[in-house]
Amino acid sequence: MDEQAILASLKNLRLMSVLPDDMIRLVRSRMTSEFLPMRQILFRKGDQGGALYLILDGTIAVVFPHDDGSDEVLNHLGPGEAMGQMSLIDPGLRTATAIAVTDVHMLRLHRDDFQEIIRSQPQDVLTALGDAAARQRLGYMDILKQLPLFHNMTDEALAHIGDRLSIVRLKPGEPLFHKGDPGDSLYIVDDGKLKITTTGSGGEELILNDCGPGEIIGEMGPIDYEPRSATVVATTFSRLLRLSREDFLDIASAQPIIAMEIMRNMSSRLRFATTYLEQAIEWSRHVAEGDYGDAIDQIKHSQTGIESGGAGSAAKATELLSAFFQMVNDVQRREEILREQVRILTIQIDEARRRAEVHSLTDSDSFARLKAQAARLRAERDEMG
Amino acid sequence: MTTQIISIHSYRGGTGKSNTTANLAAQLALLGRRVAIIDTDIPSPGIHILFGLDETRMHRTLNQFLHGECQIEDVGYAIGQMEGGAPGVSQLHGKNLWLLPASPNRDEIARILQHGYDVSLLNKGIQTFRRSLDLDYFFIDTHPGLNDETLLSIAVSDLLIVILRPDNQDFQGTSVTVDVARKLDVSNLEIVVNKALLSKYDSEQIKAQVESTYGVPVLTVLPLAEDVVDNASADIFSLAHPESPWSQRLKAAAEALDHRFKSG
Repeated sequence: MDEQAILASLKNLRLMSVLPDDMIRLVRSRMTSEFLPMRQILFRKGDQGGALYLILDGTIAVVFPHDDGSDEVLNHLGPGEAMGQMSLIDPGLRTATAIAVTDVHMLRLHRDDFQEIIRSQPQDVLTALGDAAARQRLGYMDILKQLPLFHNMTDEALAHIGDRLSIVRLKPGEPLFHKGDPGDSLYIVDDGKLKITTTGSGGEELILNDCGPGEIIGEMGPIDYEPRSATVVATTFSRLLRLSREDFLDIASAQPIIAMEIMRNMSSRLRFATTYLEQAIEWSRHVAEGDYGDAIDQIKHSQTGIESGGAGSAAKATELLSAFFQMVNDVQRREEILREQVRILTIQIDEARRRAEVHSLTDSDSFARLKAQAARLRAERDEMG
Repeated sequence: MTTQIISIHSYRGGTGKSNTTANLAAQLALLGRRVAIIDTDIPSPGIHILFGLDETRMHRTLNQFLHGECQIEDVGYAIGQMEGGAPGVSQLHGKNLWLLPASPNRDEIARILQHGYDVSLLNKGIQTFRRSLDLDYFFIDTHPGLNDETLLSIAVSDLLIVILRPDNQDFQGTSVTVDVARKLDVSNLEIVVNKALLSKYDSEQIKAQVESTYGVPVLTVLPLAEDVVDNASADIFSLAHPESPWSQRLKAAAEALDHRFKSG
């Protein structure tokens, strides 16, 4: 790879793309050449990360070693591609193992060098770096994984979702959305604080809750598409990651495994709902299991990933699941129009808070006196006839 | 029948308590009952406005009684004897409805709030008034929240009606009110759900949920209605607009109450 190509590759990287050109050249100058012979392990899952690698020549396989000893190949990287971007910002542990499939020539940039370079950068560049890092941050996979919707998803599938996250930045006082708005996106708070509010009958603002880094807002948004039940407003400068319904459905229809896992998660969540939606999911599950079960299994357990899982079955599965999601959309829309959306009122009492407040009001001498006084007043009343 | 003393309470302001109290009392008066309302919401009295009373027409108020400056009878305004009035209120001509208002005058309010008042005196006043007029119903409109004066008037009532809106804050607050009332050995508790979105929720379902949550019977579920919001402030809405769903439900609730006490 010639110098121009190297610089272009660097510029392509999410983190580097926010740096001005002269900084990119500086970065390049700090990179060292490395050679990795075939079958050599570059780093293992769990190793301390601390460097970015840009491949000049050859192929590296990114592999996820499962607990049962099997290896799942997540990706192959070739010339111009890089790994370990995040370790330039977050010195975390490697989340997969990297092995040279062929002899590999590459460039290495150490975290310390990168940190030194960006230290001199103006605030807006640092901010942009923060944004880029937020999008990359693998930590969000852990947060996403906790959601029932993404519960049993593989890291690879989650990484696809991670790729689609967009950044939302808010100033203090700026709303994320208003009550009643169509709720089509899911948000993860990366930085900052937001308040969840509704309006009292006198027009006053009632704060229901607040949320901060690591918390999710609107988790069922991409599936439910329900109107927002509250208004959310930033109270500090905030950065959120957003997964829109469109992106979510794109991922789902393009990635059969993701779609299957979502369907499974959705149906267990909707187990007790008696809606057309549930019936539709049931139906589709039968169809999928019946006709394409084998194909889907094959894809799931394929050693070499989705792309090479057998073009015919993968395409068929994709078709089926795209159709399924389209149908789910149609059914949902029809249901909304047909029914008046009569909803069930649920009352949730925070029992601990209730007990605490009752205790603070009644467990005192003054309350005992009040009770005695009440008894006297009742007696007076009865006496008066 | 012996006077039924009914306290009307809300955990928070804005539930429509005063409006509901005034309308319940008015409907009972229309049924021929002898009814009084006393406004013990000293910090923010408002029920007098619904009956067309203002400072110029209220020479004596509860505040003066509580200072020992007059008798309780001086504070009672016979709504049925008042001239003119808004379309709703004027239907009460000749009916037996009395109002004992609190003063909206800032100085008068401050005077009481500074030194508090003797609840025993208030209680004696209520008892004297109800006996002298041989009342069927005596409504006590209370200040929102669980303060000592409120708790005491609740404790001496025959029935406590808690009014709430169907939202989280009110549900939570009502749970506390119910517990505290029970600790005060309040004999009868009922709930009125006001400002319910009946276009979205089914009133029977709301009633069932509320009853099972608190173990307290629901007297009625009243809708949030634009017409009530617009018109309620200066008149007795259910008399002025009897065709409104709010009015119909309110009237039915008054009849249910009366039926129970008449036969009970």
